Amino acid sequence: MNKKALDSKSLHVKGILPAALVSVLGRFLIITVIFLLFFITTPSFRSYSNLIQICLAAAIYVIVSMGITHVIITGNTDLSAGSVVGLSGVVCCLLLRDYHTSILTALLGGLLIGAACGIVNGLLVTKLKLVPFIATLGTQWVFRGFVFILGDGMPVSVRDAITEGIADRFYFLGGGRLFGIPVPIYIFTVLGIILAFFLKRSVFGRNLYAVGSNRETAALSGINVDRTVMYAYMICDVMAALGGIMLAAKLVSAQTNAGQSYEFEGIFAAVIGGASLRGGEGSIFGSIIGAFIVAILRNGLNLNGVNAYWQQVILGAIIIFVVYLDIRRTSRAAVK
Amino acid sequence: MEKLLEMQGITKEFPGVKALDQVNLTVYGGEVHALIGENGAGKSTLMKIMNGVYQPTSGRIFVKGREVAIENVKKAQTLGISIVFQELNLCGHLSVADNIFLGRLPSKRGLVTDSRLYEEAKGILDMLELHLDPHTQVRYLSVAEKQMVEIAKAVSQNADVIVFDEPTSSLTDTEIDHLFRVIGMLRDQKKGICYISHRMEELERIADRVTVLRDGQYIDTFRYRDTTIDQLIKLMVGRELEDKYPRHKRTIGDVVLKVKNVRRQGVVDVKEFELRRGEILGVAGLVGSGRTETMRIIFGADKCDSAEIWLEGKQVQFKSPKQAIESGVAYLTEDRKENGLALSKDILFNINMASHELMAKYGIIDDRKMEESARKYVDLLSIKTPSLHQKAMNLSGGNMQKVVLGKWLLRNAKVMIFDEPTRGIDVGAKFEIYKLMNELSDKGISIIMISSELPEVLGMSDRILVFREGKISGVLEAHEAEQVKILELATGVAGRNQETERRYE
Repeated sequence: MNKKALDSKSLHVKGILPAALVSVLGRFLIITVIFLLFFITTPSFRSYSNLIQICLAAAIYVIVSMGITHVIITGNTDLSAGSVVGLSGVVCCLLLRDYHTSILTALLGGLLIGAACGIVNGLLVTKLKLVPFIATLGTQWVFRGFVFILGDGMPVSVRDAITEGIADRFYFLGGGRLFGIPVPIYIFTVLGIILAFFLKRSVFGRNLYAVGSNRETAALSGINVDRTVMYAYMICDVMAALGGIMLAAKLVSAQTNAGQSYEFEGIFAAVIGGASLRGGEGSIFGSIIGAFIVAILRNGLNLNGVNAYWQQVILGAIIIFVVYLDIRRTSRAAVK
Repeated sequence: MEKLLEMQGITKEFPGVKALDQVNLTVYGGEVHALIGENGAGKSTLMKIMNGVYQPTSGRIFVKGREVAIENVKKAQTLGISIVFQELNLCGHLSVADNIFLGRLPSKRGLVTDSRLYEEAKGILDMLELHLDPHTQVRYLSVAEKQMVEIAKAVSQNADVIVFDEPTSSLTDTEIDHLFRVIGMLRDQKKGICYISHRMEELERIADRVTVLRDGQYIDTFRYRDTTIDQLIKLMVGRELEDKYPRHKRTIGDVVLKVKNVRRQGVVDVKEFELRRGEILGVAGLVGSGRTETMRIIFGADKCDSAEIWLEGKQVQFKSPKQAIESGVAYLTEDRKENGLALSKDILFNINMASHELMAKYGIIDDRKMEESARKYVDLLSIKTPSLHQKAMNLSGGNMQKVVLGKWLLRNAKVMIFDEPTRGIDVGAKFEIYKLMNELSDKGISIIMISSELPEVLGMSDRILVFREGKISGVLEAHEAEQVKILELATGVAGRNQETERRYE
């Protein structure tokens, strides 16, 4: 046999890494450009306090989005996350107001509700094999319904029911500051680092990508697909619950409409951050950038006096544009 | 040599069909055992039994002398049987190393030990002399490279028996060279290789022994050097042409469709062919020979670099299937379920699906007219159904086919392209389809029939186009055509036969 022909040149690695890098850098570029644009054109954008404002505005979206990213990576979706935000807030505040529990207990109660919501979503999707879009659209209504039922259709205010000291400590979770920096920023930074580490380095994280990339293959390789999807939903809704608790803490009360449409903000941020709704792609870091792109845009447009309605139009157009770019990128990669 | 895998008297029955009947296969360590047969001969069923996807109806399986039951894919893996599938089974978003060790990632306390993962992956890739970076995401690899990752995965599972399912169907020559070298290496490591293919010219290069299947029957096993390709082809094709085809004198008219210079870089390069009124033009060739691609280009379904088409003497250019359909060209897809029918809709809907604008006045659909036309074609094609409101998914394969036909007849199709018209339907329904094709041609409709079943091509066609590697390698008149000739044109082994024979004299 001809030895030379067999040292097949066709099998050497092509310039591939750049493609993945381009996508990350691309996001950095977008956020930098937007940032600089406002930085140059808008004097009021340039203050330290405005920077903190942006971070605060982004905080809860970042938390929700980091959770939802797990579900999106598996190729599923969770439209109920916004209702979970509301539900955990109500549960947490009810525990404080009516049962006079400690803050820690209330916190755990809220998170547990999130986990339970995740289990419900996970069961619907894995055991009953419902299409995630429909299943979680249904639970979105169910969970929101419970928000109204539990609070009798009224906001649950904690302020008058507990001592000043407890109220202050509760408020600290959502609106407090440590060394001049709001607490939510610490929370999402720490959680972001932990989740990113696990997603990237743990067997579970790798399984999430495998399931989203090719379910069949993952199952054939001995991965428990159902359990993986289930855990993804639990992480997602526990994160949403945490977001809900922080939101309630900030106001020291749970609003009935708290978290409404946050699921879309979360999905939006994840997708802008590079997650693919077909699964297999997405990162914590990307979702954070995504949430910040939205927050910076909102902030900058606000400062420039663009009204909320037009902001909605602009943000909607941007997500379409970003997704279009992504499809172009992936189909090019496929052609190669 | 050690007997790694032995399958004895394997029979597999599906409702109404015997897919395998008393098939034997023995794979020794250190050999490449080719499994050959036409489409539908039972190769893939046998493979799925090896892999634990199907359970045999009867028969015994031994692995290294011990009788086993292969209940599922996982079991096959622990027994040391791995399959490199034709449709690749990889996670595109994960790295090469992740894919090799998926489900068995080296880890400590739930965390992947990446250093070990990449080291071990590199070790396996090096052993196979593959110059792949284990960090690369699999979706950026070529088909050949993906296949190599699958092989590496099989090797990493310590597979003793590695089954290759038509591995070369989408590879270039250099890639095939590399694949064969890797297979040779595995053979030297005393692995048992089972190589499924219908490319005869490849056997020459790698096969030690050959087992021939035909129509689910075990024919024989030979040492490759004791036989010739001619002999193997004859055994593969085997059966006499029974009177399964309603032969029929046809009156053939003027040229209806004339096609010239159909090209797509690297896929199709067709100089020219013609189709006459009332003619059935058979199109033969291996899967991937460009026959389907050519027809799809003509139909406007795929892009091309060039294509010149004359329909009834007028030059046309179909930019989309819609235009082709409006001009009277219909395409009946190979995959009726996926492309030809709206499965969850009823017969009424499906038959009218391509003609809704003909059924409508000012954009409003006339339900009565729809029903009339649906009833007409249900009767004409004798579609067996309790009502017009039966959902397409509840119909048998033959009846599904007829519904698709009805859809195109309603559109007044002049040229009908059938892609594998009888795949997956039983003998009785096949005969019905053949009769229908004859009736269609009587009505002056011209038919292009793409088929992998040579007896069908021979039995039904007036002329036969044979494709090979994107080109037409021959045009045969029905009376001068025979199976061996078509196979030679399709595989390109004719020229090599003498050489083969010389070698073994």
